[in-house]
Amino acid sequence: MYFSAAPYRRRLAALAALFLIICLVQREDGFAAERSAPLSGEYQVKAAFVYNFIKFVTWPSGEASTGGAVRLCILGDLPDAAPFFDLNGQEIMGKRLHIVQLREPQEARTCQILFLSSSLSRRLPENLELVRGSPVLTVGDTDGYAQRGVMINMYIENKRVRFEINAETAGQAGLRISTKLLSLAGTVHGTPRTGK
Amino acid sequence: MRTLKQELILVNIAATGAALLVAVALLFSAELRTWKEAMVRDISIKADIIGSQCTAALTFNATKDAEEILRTLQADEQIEHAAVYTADGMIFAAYPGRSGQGQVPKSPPAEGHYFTTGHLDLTRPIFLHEEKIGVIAIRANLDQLRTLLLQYGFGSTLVLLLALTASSVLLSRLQRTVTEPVTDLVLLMETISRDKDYAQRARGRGPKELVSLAGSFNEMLTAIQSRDHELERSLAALKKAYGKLEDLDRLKSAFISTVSHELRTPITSIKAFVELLLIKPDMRENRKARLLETINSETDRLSRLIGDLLDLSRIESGVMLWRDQSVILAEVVRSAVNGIIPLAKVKGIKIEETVEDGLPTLHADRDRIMQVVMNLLSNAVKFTQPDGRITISTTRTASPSGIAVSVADTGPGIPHDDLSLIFERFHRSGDVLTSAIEGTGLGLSISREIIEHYGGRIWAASEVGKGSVFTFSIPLKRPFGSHQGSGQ
Repeated sequence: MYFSAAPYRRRLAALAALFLIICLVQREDGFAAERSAPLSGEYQVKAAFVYNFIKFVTWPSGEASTGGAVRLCILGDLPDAAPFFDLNGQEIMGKRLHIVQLREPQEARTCQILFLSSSLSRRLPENLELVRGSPVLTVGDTDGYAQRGVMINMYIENKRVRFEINAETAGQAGLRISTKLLSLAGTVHGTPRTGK
Repeated sequence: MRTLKQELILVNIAATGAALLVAVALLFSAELRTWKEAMVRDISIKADIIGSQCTAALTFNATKDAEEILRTLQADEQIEHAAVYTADGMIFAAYPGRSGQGQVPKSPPAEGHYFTTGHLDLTRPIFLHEEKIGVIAIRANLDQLRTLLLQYGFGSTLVLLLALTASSVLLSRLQRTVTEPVTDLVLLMETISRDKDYAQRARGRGPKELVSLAGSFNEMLTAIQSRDHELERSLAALKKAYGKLEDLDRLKSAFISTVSHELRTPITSIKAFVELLLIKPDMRENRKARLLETINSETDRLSRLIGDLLDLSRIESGVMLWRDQSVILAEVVRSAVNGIIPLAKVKGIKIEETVEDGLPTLHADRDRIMQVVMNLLSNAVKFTQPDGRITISTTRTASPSGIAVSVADTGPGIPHDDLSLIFERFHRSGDVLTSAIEGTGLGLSISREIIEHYGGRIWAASEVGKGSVFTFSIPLKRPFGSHQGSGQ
């Protein structure tokens, strides 16, 4: 993969096109509303979702200033992490996006976004405890993660990727999630903290 | 034909109407512009709000959410349809309007706003963090504009009508200051031309021009009046002159008839006697001699008459030859007295003469002055009874400086009524035919012509039974124009 800025738009367009194709494919199948098994290309969609979540989340001023870079950290093992690493070096909101596979959970505090894999399900509370009070957006794709404190949790419904938001923990972390994103969320847990 | 008032009101309606129309048109165009700007602003804000709300839906490909957001446009009945497109021009979400009939275009229209017939098409980009992620297109109808147009049309018509009515009412009151003086003038002119009464005058009031018009009119009236007076005067003079001419004509006719009569009288007797002599050649000598004597005297009379007539006509027609020279009046009077003494002695009349010797000399025709004096003396002798007395005297007159000669007799006198007639031609006291007194009846008339030729006067004073005084006066300096004759 290339990490230069020039083909960035083309790649993004390709990503978006893929995203749409997947959506169209998903729409053609008319299954009942059931949270179902993994789809093909599922992690490509999820990577695009995470990338887009960044645009609708506001970090407290100063906290996110890590030298003009945004760190997206993955904790635990993903069935397909490649689509995430494809995003490495992308520019987002004037900053460069770095994709990092964390080896030590303690490094989580240095991230702006922390993707918690389902493999961490049992050790989730300790990991969440590591970033408590820090402006780190926690993201997951495991049932029940949202209730357990992960701020944005993706799931599959009617063969479409959807997401739920735990507004309470996001608020506690000092993160502000856009109401536009909230309105798109399937479920919102807790009350979103309003304010600056 | 319209009256001045109607004309004024029409002019007012045209002027006010035009001004109001221009004002309404300008106001309306300004209002339309403002309204269009406001509408563009309003729809732009709506498009931006909806576009911003759709950012997440666009990003996460949530068409239904986007459509739901678009449906909030239902609140605005202006909006016919709206649609959101992706950045690469694909339709993403559509709102078909309240009716659900709106046909959204398949690809996004160019950005900006366009007023077409009945619609406003507005297209705005959708940005997310300075990145253009899509486009929103809204079509709004211009029903509000139509309503506005109608309201404006109705309003301006109302305003126009009200303004015109108000200005007409106002003008129909104010126009009096202009039209009333004009109407007054017109009425006055009509009255004057109907009654021919040019003594009336216009009252100058109202605007300056009307005051000056009234002034000019009055001047014209004055001119007409004075011309009328002049005309009346000349007419009177003409009538008088005509009357005089008629009198003169009558006089001439009478004169001719008298002259014919006077001429016939001696001719008749001459002819009768001549015939008698022819019939009776053996008439006695003394009888024949008496007849011949009568014929002779009649011929003399005829000759004198013709001579007098010639004199008179010469004087009157101005062909008389006046041989003017220095005349010593005393000498003339004495010569005349000497000439008449034999005749007076025959009748036993005494002549007294009181003539001043130091009188100034006159410049005149001696023979004519002599003729006048002789005429007065012979008349006096003719009418004075035997043993009567005739007095001739001279006096100086003061104003004008001249000399007067009076001949007084002790005759029967002249009745007062005849005094003014004795200088007329052929006038004689008593009946011509039966009177024993001879005369042509032209002597005094000729005398008057002569005296008047020299600018003098001749007159008579008399009292019946006591005698008469005939006087003439001649100024030393002849007044200008008097030599041209009396004209009578």
